[in-house]
Amino acid sequence: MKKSFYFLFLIFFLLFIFSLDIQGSTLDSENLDIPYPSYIYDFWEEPVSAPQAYYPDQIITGKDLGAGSLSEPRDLHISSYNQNIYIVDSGNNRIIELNPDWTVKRIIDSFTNRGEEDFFNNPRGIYTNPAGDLYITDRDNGRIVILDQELNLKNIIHSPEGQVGDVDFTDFRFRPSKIAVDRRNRIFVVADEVYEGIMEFDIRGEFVGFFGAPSVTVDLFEYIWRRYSPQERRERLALFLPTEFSNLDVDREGFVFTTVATGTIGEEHFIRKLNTAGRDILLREGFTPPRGDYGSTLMDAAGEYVIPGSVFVDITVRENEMYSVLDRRRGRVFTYDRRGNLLYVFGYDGHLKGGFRYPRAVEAQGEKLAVLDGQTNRITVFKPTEYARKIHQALDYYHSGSYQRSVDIWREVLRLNANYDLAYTGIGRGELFQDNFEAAMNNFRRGENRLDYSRAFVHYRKEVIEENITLIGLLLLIIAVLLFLIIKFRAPVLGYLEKINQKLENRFGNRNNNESEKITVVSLIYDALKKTVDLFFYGFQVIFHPVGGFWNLKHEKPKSIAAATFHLIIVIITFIFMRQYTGFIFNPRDLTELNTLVEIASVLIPFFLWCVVSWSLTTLMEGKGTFTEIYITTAYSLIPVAFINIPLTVISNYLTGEEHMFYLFILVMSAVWAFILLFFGTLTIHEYTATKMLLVTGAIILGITLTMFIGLLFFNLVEQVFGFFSDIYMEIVYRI
Amino acid sequence: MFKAKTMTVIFLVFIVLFQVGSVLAEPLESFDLVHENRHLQLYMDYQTTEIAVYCKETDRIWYSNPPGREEQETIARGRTRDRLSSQLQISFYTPGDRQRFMNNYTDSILIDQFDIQRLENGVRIDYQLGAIWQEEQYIPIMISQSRMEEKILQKIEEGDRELVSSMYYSVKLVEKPEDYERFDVYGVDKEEVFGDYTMVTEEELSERDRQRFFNNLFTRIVDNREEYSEFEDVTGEDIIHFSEEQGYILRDRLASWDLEDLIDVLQKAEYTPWDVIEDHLANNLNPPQRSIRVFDIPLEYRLERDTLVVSIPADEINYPIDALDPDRDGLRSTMPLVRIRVLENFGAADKTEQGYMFVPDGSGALIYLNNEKTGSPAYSQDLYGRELSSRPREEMRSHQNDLHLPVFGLTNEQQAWLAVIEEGAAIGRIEADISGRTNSYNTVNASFNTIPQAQVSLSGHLEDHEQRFMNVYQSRSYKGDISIRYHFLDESEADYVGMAHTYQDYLENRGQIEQLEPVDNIPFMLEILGSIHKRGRVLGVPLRVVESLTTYNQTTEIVDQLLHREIENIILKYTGWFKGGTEHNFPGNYNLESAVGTREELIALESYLRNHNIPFYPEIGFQYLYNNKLFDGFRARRDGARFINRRTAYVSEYNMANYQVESGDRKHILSPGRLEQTGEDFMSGYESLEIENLALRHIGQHLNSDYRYRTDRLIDRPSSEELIVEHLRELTGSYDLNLMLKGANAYTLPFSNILTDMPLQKTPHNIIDRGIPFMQIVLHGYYNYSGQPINLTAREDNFLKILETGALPYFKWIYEPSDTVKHTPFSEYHSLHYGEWIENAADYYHSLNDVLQKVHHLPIVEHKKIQDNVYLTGFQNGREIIVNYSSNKVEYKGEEISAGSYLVREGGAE
Repeated sequence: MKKSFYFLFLIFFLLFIFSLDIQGSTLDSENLDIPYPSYIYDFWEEPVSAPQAYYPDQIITGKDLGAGSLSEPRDLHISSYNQNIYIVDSGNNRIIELNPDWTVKRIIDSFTNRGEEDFFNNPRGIYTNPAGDLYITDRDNGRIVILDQELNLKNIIHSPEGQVGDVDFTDFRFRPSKIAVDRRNRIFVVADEVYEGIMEFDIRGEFVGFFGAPSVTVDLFEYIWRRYSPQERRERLALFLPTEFSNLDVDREGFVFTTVATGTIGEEHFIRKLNTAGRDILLREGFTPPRGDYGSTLMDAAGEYVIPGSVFVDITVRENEMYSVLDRRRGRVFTYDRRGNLLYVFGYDGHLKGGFRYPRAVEAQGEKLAVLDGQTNRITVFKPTEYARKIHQALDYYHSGSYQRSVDIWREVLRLNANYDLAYTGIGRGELFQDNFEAAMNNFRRGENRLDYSRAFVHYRKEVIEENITLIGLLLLIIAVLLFLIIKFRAPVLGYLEKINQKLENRFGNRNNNESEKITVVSLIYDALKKTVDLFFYGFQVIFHPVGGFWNLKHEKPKSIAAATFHLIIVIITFIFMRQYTGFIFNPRDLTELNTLVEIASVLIPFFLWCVVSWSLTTLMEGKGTFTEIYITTAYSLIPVAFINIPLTVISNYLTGEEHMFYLFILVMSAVWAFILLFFGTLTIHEYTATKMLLVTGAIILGITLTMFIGLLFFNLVEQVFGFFSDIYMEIVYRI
Repeated sequence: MFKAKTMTVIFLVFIVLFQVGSVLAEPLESFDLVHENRHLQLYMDYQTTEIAVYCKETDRIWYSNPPGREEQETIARGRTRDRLSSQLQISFYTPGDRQRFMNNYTDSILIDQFDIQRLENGVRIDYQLGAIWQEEQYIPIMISQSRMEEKILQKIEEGDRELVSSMYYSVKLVEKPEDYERFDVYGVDKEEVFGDYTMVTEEELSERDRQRFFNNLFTRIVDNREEYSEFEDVTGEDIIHFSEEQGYILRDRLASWDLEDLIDVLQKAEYTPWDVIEDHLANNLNPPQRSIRVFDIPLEYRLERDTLVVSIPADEINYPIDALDPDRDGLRSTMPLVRIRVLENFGAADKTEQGYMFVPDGSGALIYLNNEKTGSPAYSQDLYGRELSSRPREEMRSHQNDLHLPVFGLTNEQQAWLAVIEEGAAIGRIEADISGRTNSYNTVNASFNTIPQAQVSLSGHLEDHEQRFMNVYQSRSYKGDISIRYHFLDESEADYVGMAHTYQDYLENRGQIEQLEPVDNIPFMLEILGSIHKRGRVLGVPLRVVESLTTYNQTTEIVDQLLHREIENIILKYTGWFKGGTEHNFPGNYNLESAVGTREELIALESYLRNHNIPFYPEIGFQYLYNNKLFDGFRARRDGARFINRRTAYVSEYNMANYQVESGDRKHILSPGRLEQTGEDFMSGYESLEIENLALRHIGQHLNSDYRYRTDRLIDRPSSEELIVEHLRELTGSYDLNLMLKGANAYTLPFSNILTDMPLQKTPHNIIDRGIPFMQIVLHGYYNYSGQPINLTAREDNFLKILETGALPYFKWIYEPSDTVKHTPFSEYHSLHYGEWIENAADYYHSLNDVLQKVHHLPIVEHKKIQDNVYLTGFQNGREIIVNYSSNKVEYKGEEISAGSYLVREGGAE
């Protein structure tokens, strides 16, 4: 008895279950086990867990292809002409051409040159133009070989010779390595030991010039340096920054994407997109410019970064202007969208499936990505998971202008990964498009997108104001009336207050007159309050009338360290308050990470540095102030910071990004004010003239710098001594 | 009658012997029968200590070392080639932290340092690895004539005698003749040394040769007297004895092959270094000192029913501990024996064979014989997961290894064997390699880490960046036994399914697993994440605050919704009920988390679930301390485990991108020795809830040591395993709890029948060719098990995988929106909200239930690959599930299965 029945679930059922698109994707169970964690960087440059975006689907070796082992393969290219795959098998001096299904089509190891068979010698790179012509860098032969699809020789480009333009090529050894060709058959070549940029050749193979090296941006220091340096040096410095490009690719519009291995350029320029004029036009609108893994800025004794960042070896441009870059350091592929947002990361440095030892090239085959490893001599083909496909789809919709549909897809991405900031931004934009400003704001806030948040906030604020226009009007009216009344009836009010004051004093205070009066809790509180209010008022008096105020402080008022300390504490609290409660747009800090000690130190250390250095110097320079006076003066000088910053922090919650000038202006104003106070305060207590005070100020600033430097040296020394003894201790503990 | 019986027996024995003789005559000619029982015969070659097992049922011989390796081996040379003839390999460290290797062929058998003993049902060999004497220590530099005659010359043949004589000067000290003219030897005052004597040789020497002779004499003396450094140190005392009796002195400039011949001759004469000692002492020379680099390792083979048991009583292992080391000028040396590999070549398959090796990687994995993947590293993975107390750093860098069952095996498609590690699995490592790398054979075997070791930098941290490292070791070696049981499988079960069934029988016979009852509906495994901690703001100051993700009442709501969707057989795990949230406070200090509800609400939830027959498993983690508070009863120095560098052990968080340790949150590892007390303290509070279930985090997966320096307080991995077993026995026995485990490692299997997070696939080692559901074949019908939570794995083939492996659907949910965990320490859970999954889950469940409900309690009897990406799983009642992971539709027995879909057939097994 053989009863059988079907449970045949069709594709659409699975679609229903997983909402996924199965077309053209294998669900091979053997391949979804991935040996590395997947992550994405958040706003604070911290990696956060993410679902796997790509999985290693196939591992292809030369043996699998039936073409014998590969030897130091260097480049991988997929032709836009017929989708054929080219592997540059440098060690074997050959190019392997594969059909799109990864079967060998032919092996190119020779071509006919003037009727004779000619061979490659260490070919390093290959590129095809839209017509299918092959451009091969034949490195050790110092030439570029151009073949057509039938392998007929079309042209050979040799080294430029002699003086071309302003470049001298005598003694130049041409060793072309990576190559790319744009639609108009302009040829871009990265050659070894050429630091002037990418070499550009025209359609006939004539050298046109160097291309794309970042030009020097001049800062003040450099300007002065160059101004007074010898003539030749000035000329050489003026041109470009020596840069070693590692690889390049050309997109459909002819823009050249490059990766930079080393050079004296900032890491934010490791990836560049060059227009025809060689100007970098890469969008860097993500949380940080695209640069793979962040490294530390700290260097160890050997001059190596303690935590090194990514080193890019290849770049490939993909659909919707996405691009993927390959990091040799940790064997990872980073993918960015056209705006420079990091989309996903995969791969690792290891020997398990999906890992690389020395990755050399990455190439996109549709949604798949192939990575060539030059040490293990194999190619790993990665396939996107549902998660990555959804991201692609959402970007696709967004690009084609179907914002609403992209929002739906972004929601599905979020369902898989609630940490995905870009999806919140995507949804936020959709909401913004539909005028749901509050929802948009919430999403932008979740996605840590301050720019778009501000955009939404502009509308939201307008909306709220418009809705509550009567209420706001009323409020303004009341405030105006109150102000008017206060000004008008200032005197009677003050008199009345004075009367109350008197009454209270009669009742609780004035213990001086009547000692038998009981000290009650209320009287204590009253005293404290009164003292505090007095302190505030006195503080205000000082900051509005610095010269007189400080003079009073020195001569009349009893020298109150307690009062100064009170103001200092207020300033510290102000800083903590600002850090935690400044509006979202102006506050890029992680609110969950607050170290009170650090915050306190960040006020106290500069404060005491100033006090101590100032005291040391002024004592030498006939200053009349004591340390206590300096302490009090400096503390009082900081009052404007507290006075302005607290209301500013509150207001910052209602400002948009466009109003940041206003915010900044007030912030700077408070600092300037504080500095002026400090200047006049110090002047007053030491009884200096203004000129002398200027001199002293300069000296103090210099002194602070020196002190910091010596302090650092000292700490370093202490650390080393400590390390030395701990080493000895450890050795004793473990050896014995 | 009696006689007839005896006759029959004799006859039978004769027949057996005759038959065996005829079968085995050729290959076993150098072997002798050691022991025999109803199923097996154990043979041994007493010269090489190789063994062979003849399996009567399958009529096949398995060898400890591949026969015919002399001809077939084409790759290995030298020591590597010798390794093929070895049964044991060891690795140890010299005092300079250099790792060294030895094998028992080169370092014991070839130099005849072993001893064979019969056991009741087998044989025991005591190996001494490492030459006690160096070769040159067999040769006496000086020897008196009588001893030479007695000890050497009389025992050897004429030709050899000549050889020996030719290599020695025969000398005598005689009174110097009147006219004797001394000639100078540089640096020696000969008058003072010889006085009235001179030394003459038996043969006449030319002037030049005499010069040479005296030079040699002094050189020999100086070289063999520790306190002498130059010729002038030599005195008359050193040679005066030659005046009494003629003696022999070894000549100089002897060719190395001559010396080898001499050693051979001396060995033939049974003249040993012990005799050399005597002769050197008699001749005022320093005696040779024996090497301390010697390791005593016993190895036992026993036949038990139809299995071969190979064992090493590890407490009888000796290695140099604080021994006076002649190589280091009398300093004391310790050479920790860190690893022993047992029977590397047992049942090895050669280059011509087809089949595969089985390793217990993940759910199980196959390495095809001769798969030519020599570009990938060999397989070498520790059992029971990585040891967090010794190598915390590796945890982040490489893939979590996941070996839950201590088994491995090999099949050549006609025959197979399966080995089960019975003792010492906790320090075991499974190693497998294919032919073509080190030698021409495919081997799978186990090695044992008898002394765990790690490198510390001198700053005291484990695996630091600094360059100066040194080794630290566990304070003593493993004292238990190492024991491996080999099962032999015949053709009908010579595949991984057969191996799985063998292991299943093994477990069942030992009463470690019990079959499930049939069910109406398959269980739906649900984990509710109740609360987590995060940094929250309290008056602008961030503190660790516990945030509720699902309260008790919200849990009821989620369960209601599931019941509403006709999912009734739920098994509910609830995490984050204990004070402190998911990463809770010390469990020894029992306390409930108030963020998720009151105690009354918890009890109400429990009774609500009880009314709906839903078992409720609150989860607790005993092995780690996430949040150490003052006065909670946990003291890190007392209760925390120690790293191998003897510092308090903890597990850090790592930066996913650059593998650096993240400052901040790190959890202490509870010493396994404190498990029992912690469990009791916890139970004293938990009992009052009257919940008879408990889910345990990590205990099925993590096995940590406590490397305390004092050997009486050290808890090595195997002891840790014992303590965990004891702890589980206590919980299930004394407290009568039902447990839910994660994983689970073999030793925890008897204590639970609900497992989550079981691996459903292999790990991605390049050398592995195929993953198999070995663990599932062993456990299906005996356990309720599931893989990882479906909503967190993002695997598109989950559904098919679950069908193929007979697993259960498992979800991990919260009530609050998913982004509640964003920017918290739990951001790895990126898809948790139940509302986004419940519809899918219901469809998922019902589709699975339709297929698996009838077979839930039945063992898997068949599993095979039909073609690439298409697999068949057969159950005992004949139901077959065929899953198609590929993107094409396929046909099976006339029925079509579309891409990413599956087919259920009845009556397949018969």
